[in-house]
Amino acid sequence: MSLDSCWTLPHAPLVSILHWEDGCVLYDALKTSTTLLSPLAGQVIERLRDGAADTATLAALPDAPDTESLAALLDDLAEHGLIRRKD
Amino acid sequence: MSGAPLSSLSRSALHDRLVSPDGLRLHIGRFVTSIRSRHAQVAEGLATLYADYRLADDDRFCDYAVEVGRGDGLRKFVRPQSLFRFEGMQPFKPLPGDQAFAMLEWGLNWVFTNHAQHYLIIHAAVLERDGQGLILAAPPGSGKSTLCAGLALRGWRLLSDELAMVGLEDGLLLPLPRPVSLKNRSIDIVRALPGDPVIGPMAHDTAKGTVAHLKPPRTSVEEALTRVQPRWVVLPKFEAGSECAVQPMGRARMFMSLVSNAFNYPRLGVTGFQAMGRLVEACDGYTARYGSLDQIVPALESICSRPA
Repeated sequence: MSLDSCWTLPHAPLVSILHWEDGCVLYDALKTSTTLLSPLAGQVIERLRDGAADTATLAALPDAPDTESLAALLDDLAEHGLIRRKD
Repeated sequence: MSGAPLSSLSRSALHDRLVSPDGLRLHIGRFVTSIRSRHAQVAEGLATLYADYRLADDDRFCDYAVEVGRGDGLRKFVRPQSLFRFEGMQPFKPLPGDQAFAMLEWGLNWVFTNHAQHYLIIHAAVLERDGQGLILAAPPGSGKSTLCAGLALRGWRLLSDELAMVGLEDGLLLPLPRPVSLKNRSIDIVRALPGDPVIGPMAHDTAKGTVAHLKPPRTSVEEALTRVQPRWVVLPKFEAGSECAVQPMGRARMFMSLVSNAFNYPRLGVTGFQAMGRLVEACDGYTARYGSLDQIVPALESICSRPA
């Protein structure tokens, strides 16, 4: 995965998120869905609420893992429709 | 919540109210509920288990009016059935006549669950001690009601055996004390507990086996308008022969467990999400596997004695 890949949070204003030590919970008011996420995934979502970000930026998050693990996480979140790759 | 207790009515006066157009009007928690029925078992169950509930004045607004009928035509006289009716609806298939009181209890559960939408409603038993609320959230078959009965008979205030009702604005637990539903072996287990348990009519061969109800403690009924700050969430799981294991649970996991046990969380949208978040934030969470009441009750009382 390129570090230049850019990611967005679809309908960010409709997303609510709560963080705790063991993970976070995301509520999507558009889909009326609730999803349990790891603390790191919560950090990613929280960052994307502020606006689109590329992988390199997300790799600088405080608890970010190595690039390969981060890429797997981003792909996973995208596969579940929680984030979207910006073309 | 003024009014004389139901126990002040003679059996004939109770019967007369149950068959009257306005029905027997009772304060159940903060709701005024009208009950109509010609089933003798309903009268017996109410006299035994709702003796401490206050009668509502005739001019009080009735929140919910329910009826347990006997069927139509010859059914009224030959092998009468139990038909639950609410506002013209008949949400359940008829049951045999000797399950009339159980039908009333199940019907009331359905009414409160589906129509009290000003609260986040979770399938859980709720008790209170020293002003703090314990939520026992679990699917059927987890031993929740037996544990709830055991704690109530040890002096915990019963808020509900079935429904945790969480205020959407204040986050407090709304009491809705009603008889505790017991099934099969748990009936004899609870009957043998100290605390003078009073058990109502038995319904045999129901879809859940034999069902009976424990009378709620009088003090729980009398304090039914006093809301409670939630403090602990426990997910109990009875496993025969199991050692007792109580483990702390993270709040994110607690949140999802409560969502899976909530009745109206999806319907409430983001309001429900926020209410659930406040509830989780206010509580310490635990999972509890146990093999007997003798194990779990002291374990829970130990947890709930710790300072906040």
